[in-house]
Amino acid sequence: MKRLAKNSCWVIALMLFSFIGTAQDEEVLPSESKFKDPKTKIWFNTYGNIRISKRLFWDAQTHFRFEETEDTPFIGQIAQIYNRHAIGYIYSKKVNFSLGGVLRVNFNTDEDSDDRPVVPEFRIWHQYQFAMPLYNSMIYHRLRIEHRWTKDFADDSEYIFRNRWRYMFRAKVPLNNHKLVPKTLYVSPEAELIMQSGKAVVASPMEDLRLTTTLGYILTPRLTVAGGLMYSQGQTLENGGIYKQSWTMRFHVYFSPDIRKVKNKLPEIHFDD
Amino acid sequence: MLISISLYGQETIRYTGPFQLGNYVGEVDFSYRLVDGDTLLTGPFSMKRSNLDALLDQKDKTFSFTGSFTDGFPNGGWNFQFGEFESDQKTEVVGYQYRVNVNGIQKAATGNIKMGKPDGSWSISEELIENSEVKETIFNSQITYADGIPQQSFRIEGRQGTLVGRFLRNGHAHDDWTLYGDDHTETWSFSDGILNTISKKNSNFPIFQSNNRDFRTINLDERFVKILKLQLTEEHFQNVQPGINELLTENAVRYKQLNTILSQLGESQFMPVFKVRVPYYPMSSLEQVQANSMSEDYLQADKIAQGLLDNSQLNLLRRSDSEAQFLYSVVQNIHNTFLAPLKKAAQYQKHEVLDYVEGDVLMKRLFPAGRPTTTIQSDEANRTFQASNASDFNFYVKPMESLANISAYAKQCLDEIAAVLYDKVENEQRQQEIIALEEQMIKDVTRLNQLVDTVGTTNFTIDALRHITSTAESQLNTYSKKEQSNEKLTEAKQLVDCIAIYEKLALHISELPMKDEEIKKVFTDAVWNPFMANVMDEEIKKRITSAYRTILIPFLLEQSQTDLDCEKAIKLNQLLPDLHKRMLELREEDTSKLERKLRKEKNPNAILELFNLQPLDIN
Repeated sequence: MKRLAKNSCWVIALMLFSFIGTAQDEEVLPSESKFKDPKTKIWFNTYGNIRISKRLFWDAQTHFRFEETEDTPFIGQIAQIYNRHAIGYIYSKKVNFSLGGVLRVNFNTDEDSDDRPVVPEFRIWHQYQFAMPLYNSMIYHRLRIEHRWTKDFADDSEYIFRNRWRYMFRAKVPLNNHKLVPKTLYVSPEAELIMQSGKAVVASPMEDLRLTTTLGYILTPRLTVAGGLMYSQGQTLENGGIYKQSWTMRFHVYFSPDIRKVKNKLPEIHFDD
Repeated sequence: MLISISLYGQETIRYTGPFQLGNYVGEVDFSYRLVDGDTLLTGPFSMKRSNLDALLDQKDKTFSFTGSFTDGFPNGGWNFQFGEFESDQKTEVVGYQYRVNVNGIQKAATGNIKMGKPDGSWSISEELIENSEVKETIFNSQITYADGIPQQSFRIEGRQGTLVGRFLRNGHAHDDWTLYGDDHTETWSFSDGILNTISKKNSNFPIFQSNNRDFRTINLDERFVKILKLQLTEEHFQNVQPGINELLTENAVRYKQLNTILSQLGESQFMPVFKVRVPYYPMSSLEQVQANSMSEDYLQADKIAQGLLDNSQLNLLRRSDSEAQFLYSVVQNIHNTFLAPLKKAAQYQKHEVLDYVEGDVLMKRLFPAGRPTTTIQSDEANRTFQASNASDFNFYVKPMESLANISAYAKQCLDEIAAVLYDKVENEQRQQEIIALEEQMIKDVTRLNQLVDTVGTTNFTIDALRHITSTAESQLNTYSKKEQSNEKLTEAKQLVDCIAIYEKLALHISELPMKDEEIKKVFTDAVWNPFMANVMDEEIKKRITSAYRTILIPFLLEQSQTDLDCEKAIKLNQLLPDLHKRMLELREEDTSKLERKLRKEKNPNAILELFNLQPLDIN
């Protein structure tokens, strides 16, 4: 019995190996995982959360992501412009859901490449967010599922379809106040694991693991700014044994206007009426 | 139609049921016709009341009037009974009736009436009833009339005795009217209505003796008694008063009682018109004018005198002020020596008696101790009072003119005294009032200071509050340094009002921190923050609250510290609560336009105008 088990393990391992081998066009897994040199990036992110009715909001995010190259140290050059939109549903003060699309514009940052300079990327995404008060802080669980169509810069590359499975844990801890209210400085540690699946994904299901610490300041109930540093690593799609790494400085603006007429606004907080 | 209405007008309607006649309430049964809206009683009439329960319980007042009317006039046989009975509550059955013994008084009147006037023999009586039997006759009057005029002899019994007398055919009293009392007789001797003498006990009082006079026929009633009184000295009149005079008066009262009942039901002249003749001294038209002015002056003088004598403040003041005491005693003196006789004279005039008395006799009766002089004594031995123009008044001219002068002089004196005394009282009152007002000021300023003490020194309102207090204090100081003057009372009143206004302003200002909290609370909305997933307080309409907090309130506080006076305080007292009220209203209103305008506006008065409030004019 034991033997049989041992044998089957091998068989499975072999099968997996041969499968990866076929999918990744002769790319060979290294005997030890290799970590590329970390890239440095700067992200400027705006998060809009525009209230359109008692229970619905428009989630509008625009990110500008810069990537360092040899010619452009530190701030880098534009790598992606990222438009994420969704309609959100407020289930309760602590629970909300979103469904929408993403149009990401990828710029070719490889100076030596003769390939296409710009390639669009499309996603459909849905998200489930849960918040929990904890002492004077809040903790958040975010499940986000994305259906993603991407293509390389190469002229002949075709769109490939992948699913992304994302879970993020985040906390917000007020530093100069007993709760998260205007004029409060807070620190927000977060960790997000992004897994992926799809025909193209053979040996690199872990696309990214992001560890971030952010310092934020609540200016008003409708405006918050934050900045932080993120370390991330993940398997490259080409070879599951090779890991990319990056250090990213992130700057965020969170705004939440309310475009409803005054008479429709009240009561603001009673979702369970 | 017309015929039926006129027929209806002639129709006789019968009424039976409850009815009220003056003080009498009972069951009636009568018939009447409506003629031109008037109710004319006609045919038999009866009205009764008796209550067995009341009788058995305590006392029953019964009455019964029966008679008849013709075209609204009492006409025919009439019978009146008034009883006031108590029962001993013992009953016995006699035949088929319960019988109850009663004690009390039974009044009765029986006789014939001819178109409202007594005719034939009339009997009016009052009897004391004991055990349902007559025990004693208290009063009994038997008079015979012919068409309302008393005829032949009459007889009136009363407590005083029995009066017997007679009339001539024309109703004039004639011959001796004699009262046979228990221990004495009194006789009034008439000849054709003229009362010549009254003899009582052993005294003889001559009355109207002179033959050469003009005589007038009058009724033997109260007026006659007054005329009689003027013929006799006070002492003699007191002597005559109880006998015949009293009995005649009592008789008249009883007739009047019946007449009151009858005249409420129809036309009636049910009075015993005994005729007498008295000497007539008609007043000239000048004398009538003088008599009128005497009465008018007396009435005013009496009003002034009573006003002074009853004035409680004057009564207090005269204890400490000798001048007031002197004048007060003069008023008392005027009251006794002038007004008391004048009162009688005025009454004589009112009752039309003055035409039946000689002027000199009148003066003698009014002033038995002699006429007063213009110099009026006081209770201070050495001081007397005289009106300023005393020499204008002569008390020894013709009687009526003298009376008019005496009355005018009394009024003149009292006018002068009242002017002095009321001025004194008023001055005293003013002083008292000023003292009360000054106490009030000090109390108010103290309270103002206490209010400021309760406000913490770091409070943003403290400077304004201190300024208000010091303004009130300095105004109080200015006032206290002023000399006594007539205007001081007015000033004191104004200052008290003003300090009250400052106090109100201080209260409004001391409430500002609280009001500010309220506004902050009202202008706060709970907002759900999607990124934090929590609810945060958001201050809304910030331009409005900030204009309030950073421009308007500092402006108003500053204004209450610059050139503060009462007038300005009144305006601030108006504006501060108005502003608060307006702020609360703005919370609910659509203010987007206002908020846009506020962005550039920094002038407080312009902002007040934008808020639809009255701007504060700054001098």
